[in-house]
Amino acid sequence: MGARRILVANELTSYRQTIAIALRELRPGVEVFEADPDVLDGEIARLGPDLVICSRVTCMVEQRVTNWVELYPNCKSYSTFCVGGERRALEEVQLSDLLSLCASLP
Amino acid sequence: MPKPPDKRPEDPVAEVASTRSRRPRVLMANEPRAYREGIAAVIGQLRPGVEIETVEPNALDTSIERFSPDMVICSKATAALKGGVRVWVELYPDNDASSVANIGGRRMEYAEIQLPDLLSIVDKAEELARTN
Repeated sequence: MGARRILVANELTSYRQTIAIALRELRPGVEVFEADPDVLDGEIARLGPDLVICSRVTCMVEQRVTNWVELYPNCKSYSTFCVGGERRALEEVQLSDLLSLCASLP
Repeated sequence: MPKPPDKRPEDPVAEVASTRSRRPRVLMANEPRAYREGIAAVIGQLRPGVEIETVEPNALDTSIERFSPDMVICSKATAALKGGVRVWVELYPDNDASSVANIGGRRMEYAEIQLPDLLSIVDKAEELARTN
């Protein structure tokens, strides 16, 4: 199996760049792509990612991506993790939650 | 005749060198948490000479007193921060793309700050810390 593909498309540029670099540095076995939220759907079609991290889940994300994280939607403190189609809400997500998910993608 | 008390350090050269060689300190107190931890992790990886501490935003003022940071990144600048730290970044204070930085008394406004901007400010804080 090739490297798992992670598409990082959350809002606010420095936050998106931070998550992408943190994943590249701390999970070197995965392939990390960055995209502006405006082009998220097109990038999903182009890359076929195993995981999407975004601030607002789109229909395309829900229909085409098995694993996704809706991180702090509307700058709220909670986030939603969908892993293998199973959803759970998390309060105060930590960086380690994202790193763990990247290391254990189904 | 008793010797006057000697208040000089035993090795003044070593003391000066030690003061100058203290690692620059960056205090992270922005929210949300995953981004705070993420920025700290990235600075730690890309600027290994910097000492980083992360705290909850409500511990910002007490942490400034305890940690004596050379730079602070937070979501809301406090009076203690503005009065006590030379380099700070107020990152996305209104949850939109704009941010404000103070670099040794110079105010900078960013319409959409990038991670390289933050790293560059860390470098400037490091320079200021070493020259003072």
